[in-house]
Amino acid sequence: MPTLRHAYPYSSARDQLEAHGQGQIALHEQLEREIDVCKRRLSTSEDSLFQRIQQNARTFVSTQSLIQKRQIVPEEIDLRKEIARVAENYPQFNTSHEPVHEPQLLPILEGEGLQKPIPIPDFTLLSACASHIDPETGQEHYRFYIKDGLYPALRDFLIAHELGHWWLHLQRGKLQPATESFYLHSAHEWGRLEDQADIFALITIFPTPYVSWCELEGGGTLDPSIILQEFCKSLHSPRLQLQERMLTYINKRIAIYNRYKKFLTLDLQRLRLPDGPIPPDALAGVLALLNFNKYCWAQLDKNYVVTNCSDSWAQLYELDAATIKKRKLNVVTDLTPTELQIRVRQQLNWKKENLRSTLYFPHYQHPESRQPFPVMINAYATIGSDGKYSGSIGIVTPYPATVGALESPNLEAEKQIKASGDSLEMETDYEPERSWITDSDARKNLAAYLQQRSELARKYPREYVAFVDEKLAGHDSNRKSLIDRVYRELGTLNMLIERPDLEREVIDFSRPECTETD
Amino acid sequence: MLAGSYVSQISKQNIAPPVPSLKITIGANTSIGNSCSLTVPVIFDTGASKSVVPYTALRAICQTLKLDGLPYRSAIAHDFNGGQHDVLIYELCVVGPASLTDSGIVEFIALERSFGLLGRDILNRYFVELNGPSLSWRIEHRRRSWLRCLLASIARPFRRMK
Repeated sequence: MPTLRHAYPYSSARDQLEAHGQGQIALHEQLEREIDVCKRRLSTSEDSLFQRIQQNARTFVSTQSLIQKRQIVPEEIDLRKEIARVAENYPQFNTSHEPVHEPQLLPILEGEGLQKPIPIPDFTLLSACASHIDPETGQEHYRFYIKDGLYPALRDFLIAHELGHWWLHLQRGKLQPATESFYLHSAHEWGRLEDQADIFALITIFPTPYVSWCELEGGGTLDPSIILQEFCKSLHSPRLQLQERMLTYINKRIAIYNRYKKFLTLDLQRLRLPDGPIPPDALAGVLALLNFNKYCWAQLDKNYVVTNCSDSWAQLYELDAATIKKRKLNVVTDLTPTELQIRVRQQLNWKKENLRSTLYFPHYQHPESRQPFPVMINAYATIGSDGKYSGSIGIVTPYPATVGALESPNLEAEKQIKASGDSLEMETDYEPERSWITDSDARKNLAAYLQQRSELARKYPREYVAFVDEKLAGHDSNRKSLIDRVYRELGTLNMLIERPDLEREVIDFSRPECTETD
Repeated sequence: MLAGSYVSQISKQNIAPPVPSLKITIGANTSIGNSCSLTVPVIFDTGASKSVVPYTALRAICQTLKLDGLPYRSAIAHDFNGGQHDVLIYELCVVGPASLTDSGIVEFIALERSFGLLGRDILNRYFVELNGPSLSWRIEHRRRSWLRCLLASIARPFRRMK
């Protein structure tokens, strides 16, 4: 009998019940229904069933109190390092420009000596990872179990989630149960581990280069519904409830990506490079600054030909800077793999049209060996004296950037990155720009709203929306009645009321607004 | 009419040179029917387009009303250095001193600071006299009569012609 190590049902069940406004009553009803099912299935009496429930409850309470007393603390997991380790072992991990599905996950499972997930009909959990001891060899084996008949996109997520548990918590015995019944009865209480597995899964199925591409395609904004649509494009539409849950997760992925982007640009922020184009008189100064700080950079002309670069950039191609300049290499046709050339050209065109700085994750290739390698580029448009686009400067970091960031010459940024949490891609409270909102709940609530703002503006034009606990709590054309309703339904909570279709107000603390008068 | 003097210390914080300051009483009316008011020190700030209330005052109001928080909206604030910051805005009403009560419901930015700012959103409703040499100030609420308003509207096109 395999020992159940982990299961993924709790938050899902809770959210579903909450969504129906059922709360505890529904849970109670569900429990009664479950007892009836068990009675029928096990052909056992109600008394013995209740005895078993009581026994389980006692174990649950005792393990919970152990957690509270912090007698059992899992080994601190450095998610950043773990993700870098996966990328090291599997070069295809988090470098794809497309969403990742089960077929791309299977080679990783195989590489880890794990079997294809086993479908279980009428499984009460969505997925589980169980270990069992081989009676012949005495060795422990892990297996993933997935409820049969699930929507394929959900299945993709669950496999990636279990893979997250494998890499982060189970592989090499990182998490050892203190008691035999520990995992069986208290796994759901390990919310932090679930979050880590979720983050891992989201990064796995929506790789960073893909999300950055979506951002550029969306004109600088990320629309969760478009990502969902693309993720499910060859499938029938998911049910509304599942669709909403998937959108919540995609929003989470977008939030992780945005934070990651902030971290990545942390080092560059001190250079105070403009978000807009670099004028010709500032160009020499910017290049001197980049050289002084030993950045790896290249300058392109308006036809995307490399006109200048740092020695470190030339070394990426095992060449020197003088040779690169002489050879007039085109970054699209000579240095980008054929399959990505259209995208890279579009990315460069976007910068040309908007004259704004962009962050993207293409692949470069060696001009001779054609060996591709992923990079991360912070690109800044340059303009000539006529004010028109004259080319760009790209600051390049080998990717996965988790490794690159640690190799960055700015120790201060490194310290900030390290101090910011377990992972570069993990949600943390750190914000590079000083926040004027000191209430962390309000800050999170606002961040959640801003993520969904464009979508809400489309959905509820000329309406106010209320955000409570980082979730949409209601919408109404009348602000007061919306506040009253949310107060009535949810109590006196931290409530953000906004009109998403209106531009955000800009308040000036420095000078009175100047307007032309007649 | 409301009058006061410039001060060199607000909330145990020394300020030099002295600033025109007063104490206003702000109140919150909630949808659940309770109300509460609190007095906070503020300084005149014509550079602020919106008035500011200390976070501590808001927390005190919420504590009295036994609320987790008051409803808020967000905005982007620009500081002196051109930096951008998200800020939260709360709807409160000025309930004292009496001369300022006709401001009605005012949107206040909540910031973590020991005193508030009386911005142009409130100041521009009044005749404000700052008498620097004597370190005193005066706020007057003069309503223009309908005749003055009429004369002003007639005179405006002529003024433009000049």
